[in-house]
Amino acid sequence: MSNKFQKGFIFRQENCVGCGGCSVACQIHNELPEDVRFRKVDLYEVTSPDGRVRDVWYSHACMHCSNPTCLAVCPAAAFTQRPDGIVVLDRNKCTSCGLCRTACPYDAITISKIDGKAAKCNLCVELLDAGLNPACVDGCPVKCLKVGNVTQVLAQTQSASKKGIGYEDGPNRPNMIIIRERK
Amino acid sequence: MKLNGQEKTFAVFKDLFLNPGLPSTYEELQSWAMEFGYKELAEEAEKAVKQPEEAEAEFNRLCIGPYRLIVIPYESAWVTASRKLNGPIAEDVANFYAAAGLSSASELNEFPDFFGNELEFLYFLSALEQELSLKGREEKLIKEVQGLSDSFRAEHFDKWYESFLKAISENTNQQFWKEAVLALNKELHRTQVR
Amino acid sequence: MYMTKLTRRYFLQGLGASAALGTLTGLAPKNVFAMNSYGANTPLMAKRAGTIKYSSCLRNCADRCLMKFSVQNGRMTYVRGADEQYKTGSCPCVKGLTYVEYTYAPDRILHPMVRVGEKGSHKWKRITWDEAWDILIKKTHEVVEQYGAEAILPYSYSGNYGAIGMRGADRFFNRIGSSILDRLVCTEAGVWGYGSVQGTTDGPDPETIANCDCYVSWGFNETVSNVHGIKLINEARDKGAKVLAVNPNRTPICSQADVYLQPKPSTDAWVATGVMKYLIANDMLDHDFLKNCCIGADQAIAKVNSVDWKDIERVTGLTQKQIEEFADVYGRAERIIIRAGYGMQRNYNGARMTRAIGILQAMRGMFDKPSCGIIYDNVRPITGMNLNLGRGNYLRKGQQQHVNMTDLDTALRAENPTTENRPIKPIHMLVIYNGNPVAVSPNVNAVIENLKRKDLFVVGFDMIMTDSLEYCDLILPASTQFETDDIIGDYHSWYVQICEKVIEPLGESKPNWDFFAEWGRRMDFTEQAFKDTPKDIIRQFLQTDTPWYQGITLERLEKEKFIHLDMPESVPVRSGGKAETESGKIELYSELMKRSGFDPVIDLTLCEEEMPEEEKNLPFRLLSPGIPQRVNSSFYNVKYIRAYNAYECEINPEDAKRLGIRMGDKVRLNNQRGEAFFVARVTTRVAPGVVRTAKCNWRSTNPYGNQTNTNSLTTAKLTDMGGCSAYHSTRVNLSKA
Repeated sequence: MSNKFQKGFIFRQENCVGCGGCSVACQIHNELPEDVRFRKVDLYEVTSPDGRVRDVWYSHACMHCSNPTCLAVCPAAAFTQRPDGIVVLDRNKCTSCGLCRTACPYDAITISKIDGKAAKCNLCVELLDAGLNPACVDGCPVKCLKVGNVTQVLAQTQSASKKGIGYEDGPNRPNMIIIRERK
Repeated sequence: MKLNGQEKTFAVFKDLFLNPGLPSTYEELQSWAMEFGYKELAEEAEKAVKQPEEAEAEFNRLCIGPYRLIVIPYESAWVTASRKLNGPIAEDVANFYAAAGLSSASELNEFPDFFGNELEFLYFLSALEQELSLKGREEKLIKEVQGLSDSFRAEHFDKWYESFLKAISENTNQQFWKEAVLALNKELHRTQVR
Repeated sequence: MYMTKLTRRYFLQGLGASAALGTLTGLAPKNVFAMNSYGANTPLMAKRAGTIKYSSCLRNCADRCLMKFSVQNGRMTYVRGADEQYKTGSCPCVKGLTYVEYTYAPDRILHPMVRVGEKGSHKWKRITWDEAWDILIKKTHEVVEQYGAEAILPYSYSGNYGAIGMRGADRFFNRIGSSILDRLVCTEAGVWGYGSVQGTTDGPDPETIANCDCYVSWGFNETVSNVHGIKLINEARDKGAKVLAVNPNRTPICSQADVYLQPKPSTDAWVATGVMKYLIANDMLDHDFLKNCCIGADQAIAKVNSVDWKDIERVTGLTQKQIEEFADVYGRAERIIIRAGYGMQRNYNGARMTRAIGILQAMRGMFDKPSCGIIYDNVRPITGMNLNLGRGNYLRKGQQQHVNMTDLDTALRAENPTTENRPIKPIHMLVIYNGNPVAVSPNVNAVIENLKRKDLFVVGFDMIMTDSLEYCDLILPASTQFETDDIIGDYHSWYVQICEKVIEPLGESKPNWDFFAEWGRRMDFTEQAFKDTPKDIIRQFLQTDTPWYQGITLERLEKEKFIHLDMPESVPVRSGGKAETESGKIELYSELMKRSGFDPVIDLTLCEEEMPEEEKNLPFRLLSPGIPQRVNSSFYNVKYIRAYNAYECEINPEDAKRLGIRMGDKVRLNNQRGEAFFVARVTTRVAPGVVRTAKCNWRSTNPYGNQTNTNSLTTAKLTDMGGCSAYHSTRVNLSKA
């Protein structure tokens, strides 16, 4: 059932220090207004059974879901799912209804204040075409973000799963992978 | 400022480095050599039309493989101390191509800074400039194309073509190749951005 | 030769298909693979093309990233990491990513300006450089004639860390005979503390962290001050290394550490003592090392044994079990690197605390072997240059008075100015550059009163309108580091790096050296030192006998961009060499400390004992370390970065509950120096009795409290040794605002 070419983000959450480099790198590449972020970094305070409290960060952008609800609800068919699973939005088709934003469970879609249309992460397809990494991947100074074939990585990597802090699998079938090597 | 005829020069020589197996490549080269006054090259090219395999094999031996390359045909090898390929130089060259809406991810799929690709890029820009002129397009647009070409030569191409061509000349015994790189070197020199 | 400015459209899109496209083999139109390229936003690529220039980030940071800038038609369009250097990799930090926005900030000062109205009234008049020079030269002569050259004081620090950018101006101040600014704000207590043990602040090459089996983060926040170093820590962890952390304020690495201790602030000497108790009790000492390479081991062991666990627990707020869990990992490791923080030693007992940490590392013999030691301040890439020539130290004649930069609250007084409790001659001209005292000086309210003096002429030379420049008489526009040539020695990794001129100076701004050189020439200083170009000065810095700088030339740097320096072991006690201590060995007993009036072994005095009466009993200790999205007082105005809040106050949930404060409430901190307002973040990142705000924040950008900031509250009293700042030895009241 899964797309064997499925591209997605691979996030080693245990190494993320919440600096926001990924988020700003994305803003700069995409030439976004200051108050628009395609990639967000959320903070969680996690308490373990022994009482120890840790700060854990969750960096997230579009999940390029296998069952994208944005695509499903869009009345203008502005979303397309590519053969490699990347979900792209054609802003020329967007009619500013805003349904996609409400439908997305991952808060990945913004409605632009400038033109009223939706906008979101496109996995930096133009960079991938040039053989480069997405802006967020290259913008992470601790190198905890990668992009890759998530079907393969899930199948071949013990430490890969869809369980993280702030993240889990669901009916949308999001395609971000969490890597956890320690503990 | 560009000189007339540069487009033709780029066209025939880029084909030499990109399609060294086709007889037509050597036919074009022969015509060019006659027009531009390179008699020896014209003679060699005429011979090569009948036996393009020989010229192609020599090129492969020097620059392509399968054995160890004798003359590496990528800019990165010539301008960086580490001779690392597909690194920052290649990336920047790719960005230049991208600025013109091109990429090196064609069927050939060579690294961006392959000599043939860089020649083809210069060819494309010079052909584009001609086309825009003929169509009577805005001066501003034509200047943009020229600027891109000038910049590419200054930042990339001109930094290595001479050493590369010289190395081919020194490492080949085939008269055809000796004449070809001699002629190309001379033409490129003439139009080098200062 | 530069490209003409690229438009966002690609040529093809504007032209329709070109006939030439059909004749291509090696290249192809980018959308020929329509399926794979669907959704690509290719115009975004345009900014990456262009000429590439290399420059190193010159903020005050241990990363010292090497970056590549795209330049099109003389304009900087994009920045990325120079990934050919492993240390930097693909990107600078979150702040460095915005260097284009930083350079072209709309609030860049581009013209000279003179004050109209009172200082601080925000009224300015634009003048020409000729007029500005007229005012400045006249004033300089006036001050020198009326009060003497010592009445001139530079105030600068690390806004620009370049060899020339930071200290080229010294040539001017040396030549004119100004007061000498002692720039001791940063690391100096640790210089004495670690120095008293190992004779130096220099430690191992940080790139060896990847091979240690135990990394200890002591009073350091890597995410703020060395984010590029984190990948080395993780490489070590992926090979099985353990991470230990000690910090009263939980940092990201503390959260990720195998064992994390959150002691009460400034009790670190007690924590180290507790760890040592465990090591001694379980015989985890390097006896050979202690015998052959150290003096005073017996006294140190005796001292540690004399301290009771009950007292350690009471003072640190940690349990014996917690400390022993830490000590067990530390005691079993074979290659330990302690990354010692700067913030931690900015306390009244800073030198004494850092000494205890040095002694701890000596007990385990973690010196002079691979992937071992204390990384504190690896300054040899800087000190190895010819500072005398480069900075023009030879131009200074006679002896002028010193002024500690942390003492602006007392040294700039009109009546009875003092520094380090010594009286000095009054200052009548202050030159502010590479620094922002209203954001950075402790006890800022007093500093501002001094800046407002009618008989103090304040010159401000900066890129943007900082809060300090509001109190200037004359403002002059400074260029960024990217508008001139320079070089830089790392103070952490072992590199010297290039800083190429990326673009021409904007507006009427002048690079630091150009300005001070011209000032010198206009003062009729005829020395060659004022005619030198940046490249001349770089060559002078590199003209040195220092072994690790042999063969390093400007030409090599221009070609290679970065060069790894081959530096010798800094504490060569095992290999037959000497430590730079009085005895030549690692000193667990120190005559130096004894002469300075402290316990010669381990001194356990706490900060509170040295606080003024009215502060000592205030309910909260205020810590004010850095945050990842600022560096000291820089980036406050930069697009994308300024959206990250620099005005949070971290409060422990128990305290918050007691005071009726919830997440997001406005809170007021106050003490005898002033008040400041912040927004509450309720978190266990701080223990009860501790609050934490960001260092060096600006007043004018505080959305919660008009014209207040962290340094309105902080103490300006100096550390036990070294004359360092002691920001974190501050206590405050906390209430909901």
